[in-house]
Amino acid sequence: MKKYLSIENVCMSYEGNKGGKKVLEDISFSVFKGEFLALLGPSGCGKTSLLKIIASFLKTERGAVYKEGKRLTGPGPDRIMVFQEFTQLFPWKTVLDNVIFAIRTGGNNKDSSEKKEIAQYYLEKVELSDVLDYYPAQLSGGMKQRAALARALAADPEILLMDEPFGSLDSQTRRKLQDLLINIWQEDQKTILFVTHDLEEALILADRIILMDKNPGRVKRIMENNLKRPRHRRNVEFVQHYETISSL
Amino acid sequence: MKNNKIIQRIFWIFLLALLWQILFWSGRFSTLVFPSLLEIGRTLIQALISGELRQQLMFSLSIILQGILLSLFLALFLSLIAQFSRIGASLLDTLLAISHPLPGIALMPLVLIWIGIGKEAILFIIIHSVLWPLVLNLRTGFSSIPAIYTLVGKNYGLKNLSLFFQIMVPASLPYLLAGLKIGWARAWRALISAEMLFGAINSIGGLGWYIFQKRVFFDLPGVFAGIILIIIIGVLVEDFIFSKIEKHTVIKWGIKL
Amino acid sequence: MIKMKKPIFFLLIIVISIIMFSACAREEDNTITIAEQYGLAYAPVQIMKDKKILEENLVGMKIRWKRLANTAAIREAVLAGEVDIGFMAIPPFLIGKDKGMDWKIISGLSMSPLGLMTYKEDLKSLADIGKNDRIALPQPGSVQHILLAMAAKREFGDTGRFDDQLVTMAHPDGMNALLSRKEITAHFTSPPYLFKESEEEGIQQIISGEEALGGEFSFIVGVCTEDFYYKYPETYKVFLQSLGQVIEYINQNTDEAATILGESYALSVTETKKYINWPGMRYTMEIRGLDEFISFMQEANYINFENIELADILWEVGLYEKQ
Repeated sequence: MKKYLSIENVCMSYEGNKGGKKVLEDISFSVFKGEFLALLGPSGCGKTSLLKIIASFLKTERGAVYKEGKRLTGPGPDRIMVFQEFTQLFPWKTVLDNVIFAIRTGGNNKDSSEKKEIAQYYLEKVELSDVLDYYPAQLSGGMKQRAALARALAADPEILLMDEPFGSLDSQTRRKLQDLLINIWQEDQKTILFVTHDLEEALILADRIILMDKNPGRVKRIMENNLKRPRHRRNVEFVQHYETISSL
Repeated sequence: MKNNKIIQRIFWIFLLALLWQILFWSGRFSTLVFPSLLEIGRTLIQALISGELRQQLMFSLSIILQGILLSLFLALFLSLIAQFSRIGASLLDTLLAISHPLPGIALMPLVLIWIGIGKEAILFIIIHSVLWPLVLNLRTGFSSIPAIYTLVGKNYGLKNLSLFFQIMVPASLPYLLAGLKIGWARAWRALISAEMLFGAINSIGGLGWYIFQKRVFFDLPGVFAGIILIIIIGVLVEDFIFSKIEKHTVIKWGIKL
Repeated sequence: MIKMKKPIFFLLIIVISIIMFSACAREEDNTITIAEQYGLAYAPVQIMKDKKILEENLVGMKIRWKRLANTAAIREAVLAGEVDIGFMAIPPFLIGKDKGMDWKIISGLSMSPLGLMTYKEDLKSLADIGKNDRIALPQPGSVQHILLAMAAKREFGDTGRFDDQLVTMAHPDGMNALLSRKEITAHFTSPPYLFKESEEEGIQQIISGEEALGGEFSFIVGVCTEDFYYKYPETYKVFLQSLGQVIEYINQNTDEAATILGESYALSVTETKKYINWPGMRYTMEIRGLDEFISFMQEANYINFENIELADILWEVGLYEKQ
């Protein structure tokens, strides 16, 4: 598989009270096109910051991110992030309009009925066809995250950056959404970078897992996850893998 | 809940009206100072029917509407500049600090000299009353927008102007509305006072002018009628129109302040 | 409804307190309040105050002088019981009387030139005034407004002919506007502004007050309430006397008077003297022009008296000379 995204020697610090806290130290790894990659680590290991650097929301002190050889300098619709916060949807737009918003970027002139159709298509994919005209304030947490996902997909990004998007949901909803995400990924084959602190989630979703450690944030280990899909949480192999990795 | 509020309001107004009427009946005060409710009501209705009061009312309302719209554009324009230019921001904030505490009426003598008398002078005073609360609230609004909105906006490719109009302005709508409410209140009051001073280029000078005329011709029931109308309009706009707007926007969206 | 009893109870207490309190608030015995205004036409009052004439003649009475901005304010102050004696032109007095104020004229105070001044050369008469010419005067219902309306009625049969062109401006503002040729083209005014304007180059008079009314008239008269008249008859008499005293004083000792007045008016003594002696400027207790004002304002519907008699308007009927 060809090297698609390359993170090279990325370092970043925050200015703290005691003269700077090193958040990320010398992070380097590659991402292959179409793969599902998990960034796994405890809280405070800088994984969210790393994701934001890849999205170009944050600047690095040293090192850079390259996509297909070109250095990334600013945010863009080729790398859409789905956040953990429920507030990522625009409260003044309906669910449908939020998704249509994503479509208008991209430069091609589609007329409004086309855009509407596309938006409806994605909302159907995340099973939200019933709430097109609702405002985010009227949705449950799980529905909001689904809508955010639909919006991200509607922009047709090359890379999806997901920052613990299911972290604030109850386990049942989380599982449903994880399954949904896998289905969508398998259909569209987008490159997905998924940040989580939940090992089980990483094992269910990802092809490869980048294990991170904190103080300072760095890559501990990069592991392949060869479990055959569809994956089941009670499956013996799954549990074995889980045990192995958690001991690391 | 809402109905309870209306009922309470009506109850107290009724009680106050009763109080008034009792004072009138007590004969303690000259009927000039405390005309009966009947007298006031009659004057009010007569003036409304004859069209005299209606014309003045329309004049006042149309001027304040023009003033508010102009202020809105100006406020958006100024805060746009302040958002993208640091010099602009510092200039605007200084202007704000100077002008906001000034009641419009205090400017009257200067306005007389610079602009003269007439509609333009009144418009100036209205804009001055509305502009600064609007700007202040917009600036606060912009800095209070959850950062995630702008991040999302940038993520999807919006820059500068489109970011401003598509994300920042709708996101600050709660603040904008709060600013409009304050601006309206200040403008309504300033308008009435300004009309009292500036009126009578034509005999249509607005509600303030109407009251002034009644005063100089010693028609106290007329003065009361004008005052009551001012109150009614104020309550209608603040309690009903703004509530309605809020209901269909910020309340529906769950972002009311 | 039980819950409502408390607030209703409190409200009733408030109402009763208002009624009772207002009863005592006004009864300040042995004080009379006199309202004064700025202007040459009020000179006798100014002198009366400065030389403390009333204080001398009235023993056991406290005199309070209140300066009020304009006639409407005086009217309201009288209504509120805050002022016992006020000075104003005849039309505002009549309007108040018509609307139910129980007051009457005590005496004349001054007769004065009034005039409509303009800087526009080609405005030689009322007929020359065009739709776009704006006329400044103190306020609707003022003697200036009434005089203008009278003139309009006489020349064009249309009382309200100029109503749409009137601009409310206090005298000083009107003068400034006229002299700087801004906003207005004409100014109906009274002394000293009238004098100052006529001394300016390029300013001319279109019509005088006398021409408008069709004869002489009292510019300022003194008025007081029935309340005051019946409650303090002695004081009233002394006041009337003192007023006569002061007016005589001014007429006989113009120089001395000018010195005193110049100080209060911030004018030089020479100027003050010139103004006091201006033709048409007369301090007298005589009342003139009452009939003309009444019949005009009645016709033009500014007032609506039914069967009014002189004794209803004047305390001292003898002071009025019918023309």
